Amino acid sequence: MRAGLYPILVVLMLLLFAACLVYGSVFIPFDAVIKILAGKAVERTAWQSIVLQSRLPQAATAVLAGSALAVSGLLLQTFFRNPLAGPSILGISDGANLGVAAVILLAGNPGQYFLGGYWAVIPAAFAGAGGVMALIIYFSAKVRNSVMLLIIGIMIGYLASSAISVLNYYATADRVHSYVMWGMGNFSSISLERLPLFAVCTVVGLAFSVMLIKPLNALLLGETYAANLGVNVRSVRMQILLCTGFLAAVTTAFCGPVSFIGLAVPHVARLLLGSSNHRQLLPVTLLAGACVALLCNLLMVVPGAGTVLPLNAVTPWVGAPIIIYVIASKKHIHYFNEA
Amino acid sequence: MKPDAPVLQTSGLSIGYAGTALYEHLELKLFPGTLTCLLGLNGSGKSTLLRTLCRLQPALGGQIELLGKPLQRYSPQALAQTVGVVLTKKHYAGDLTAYDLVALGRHPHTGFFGSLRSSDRALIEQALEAVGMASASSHRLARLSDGERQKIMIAKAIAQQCPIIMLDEPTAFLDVISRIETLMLLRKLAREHQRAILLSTHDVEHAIRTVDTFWMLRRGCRPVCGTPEDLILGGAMASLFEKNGFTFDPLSEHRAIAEHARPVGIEGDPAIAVWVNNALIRTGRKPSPIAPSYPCINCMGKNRFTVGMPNGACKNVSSVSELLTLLHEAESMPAQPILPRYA
Repeated sequence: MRAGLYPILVVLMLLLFAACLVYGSVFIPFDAVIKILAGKAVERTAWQSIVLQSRLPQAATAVLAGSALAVSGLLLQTFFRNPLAGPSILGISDGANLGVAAVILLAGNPGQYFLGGYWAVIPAAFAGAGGVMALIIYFSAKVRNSVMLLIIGIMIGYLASSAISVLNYYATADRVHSYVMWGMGNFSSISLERLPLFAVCTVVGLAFSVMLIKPLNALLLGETYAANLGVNVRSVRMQILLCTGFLAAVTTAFCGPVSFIGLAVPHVARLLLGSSNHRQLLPVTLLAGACVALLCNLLMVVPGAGTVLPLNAVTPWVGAPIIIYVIASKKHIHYFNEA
Repeated sequence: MKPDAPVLQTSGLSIGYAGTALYEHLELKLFPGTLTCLLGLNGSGKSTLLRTLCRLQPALGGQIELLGKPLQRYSPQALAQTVGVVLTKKHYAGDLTAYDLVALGRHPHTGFFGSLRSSDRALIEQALEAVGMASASSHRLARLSDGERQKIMIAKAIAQQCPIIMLDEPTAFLDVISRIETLMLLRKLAREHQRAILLSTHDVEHAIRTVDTFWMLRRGCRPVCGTPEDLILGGAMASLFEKNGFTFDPLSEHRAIAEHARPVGIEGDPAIAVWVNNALIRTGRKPSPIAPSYPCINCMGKNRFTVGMPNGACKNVSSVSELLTLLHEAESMPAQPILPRYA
C-alpha cells in the first residue's frame, strides 16, 4: 500500500468538487459562491439557484456516478480477468439504453421525458440492464471461458443497439432528439430533490461491492483455487454480476450511458496503488472514479463560450489514452499477465 | 485420532465423468506424515482422481472420508480448512506480492472481510520461511521464476493449515533443480508438519527417490499402491510403461528402455559406467550383464574403454563418442562372415 494515497485522493476529490461549484458555464465570483454556500444572500438570486440547484447536485451526482461506474468496471475486470471489461462493453449499458429507448421513442414524452417520464425511464433502464444481465448470467453457467463470455456480452450489446436503431427509425424526430440527448450522458439531470434516491441506490450498490472484497481476491487465482479457499464460486459469480449490473443500471438510468469511466478508472487505481489486492484497490477505485467524473464534469465546460459539451464527448479523451497506455506497457504492468 | 489412522479414506469410490467411469471400487488411504505420489500416463485419470478427492468434481459413487467424516458433509469453509490444493493452472495474480498470495491461504480462517490478525500474519511469515521465500515476500509474483512461484503456491497451502495437501503436477514447467527442491520441500513438510501430501507427477525418477508411497493409475486396471521399491521389484512399475513399446528396467537407473533394444554388456568403474549406461539407453541399446553373445564394454577410466566383440576382437577407445561409433560399426556389419571364423 502506497502510504498517503487515500488522503491524497480524498483531498483531490474535495478540491475538484469545490471547483465544480465555482467553475461553470456562467461566471459566478468565488466569494459569491462562498456566500451562497454559507447561506447568505448574494446580489443576484439566479446565482443562488445555479450553485444550489444546479452545480451542487451535479457535482454530487458526478461523485456518486463516477464511483459506481468505476467499481462496477473493477468487479467486471476481476471477474472476467480481462482489462477491457467494463459496464459499457458487456452490453449492460446497451440493455439499459434499449429500455430507455423503448420508453422515450415509443411512449415518448418529448422534451420533458425526464420530468414526466421520470418514473418510467428508470424502471425501463433497470429492466433493460437486468434483461442483459440475466442473459449473461445464463451464458456464464454454460460458457466457462470468461473471454468468450465477454464476447457474448458484446454481441448482446450489438443486438440491443440494433433494436434501438429500429426504434429510432420509426420514432418521431423530437423523440429521437430526446433520446439522442439522453444518450450523450450527463450528470445534470438529477435535481436536488431526487439526489437522495440516486444516492441511496448508489450507496447500496457500493456497499454490496464492499462485501465482495474477500471472494474477489480469491478469484484473482481463478475459480478452482477460489473454490479450494472456501468460496462458493457459483454464488459469488452471480453476486458479482448482480452487483455490477445494479450499479451500471442505476447510473445509466439516472445519468444516461456514461462511457469509459467504468473501463479506465480501475486501471488508474491499479497503477496508483501498484496492487490488485481489492482491500485497497476497491476503495482507491471508488475515490479515483469520483475524481475522474468530477474532472470530466469540469472539462465539459467550454472556457469563455458559456456552453457545455456533452459528457460522452469528454470521457473518451480521459479514458482512451489510459487504456492505450495500459495495453502498450503490458511488459511493465503485470496485473493481467499470467503468473 | 491415532497417529497411524488415515486422514483420507475411500471406499467403493468411482471416479470419472458423467456416464464414463474411469475407475470403480477404489479403496485408497492417505496417512499423515507421508508423501504419496500419483503416477500414470497422460489420460490415466490422475487429475480426475485429485479433483474428486478435493471435491472440485463429484464422485460417481462410493464414499470419501476426510478425518473420519464424509466429504459431502463438509461445508465449503470446513473443506477449505482440511484440504489445500496447488494446481498447474496459470492465474492472473501477477500484480500481487508473494505475501498477499500466501495471505490468500488464510481465507478459510479469516472473517467476512478477510482481515488478518497478528496470528494470521505470523502463520504467513512461517509459511514463507518454510519454503525458503521469506526474503521475497514483497516481490510481485510476475517477477518470480516458475520455481519460486510454485514455492509460493505451496506456502499458500501451508498457510491454509490443512492436514491434507494435494498438488497436481507441482513439478511441471520446472527446471531440474527446482523439481528436486520442490519434492524435497514436500517431503520435509510431510515429515515435520505431519501433513498427508498427495501429488501427481510425470517425474518418475525424482519421485522414486523422494516419495513414501506410489498410487499407480493405469486405464483398465486396478490402481496399485505401495512403496516405490516394492512396485519396482514386483514389476508394477514395468507394467506402467508397457503400453508404449517401452520396458522399465529397474537395473538401469529407472529408465524407460525401448522394448527391442540391443543388449550391450557393461562392467568396470560404476561412476563411469553410469554415463556409458546413459549413452547406451539414449542410443536405443540395453545395458546388460557381461556375456559373450554381444559386445561388452569395460569402463577402465574416464577416457579408457575396452570393447570386446562377440568375434573375440578387442578394441580400446578414449571417449564415449568413439565407443558409440564402434558399436554402430559392429552392429551394421553382416553377421554371416564372422560366425564361421569364430567357430
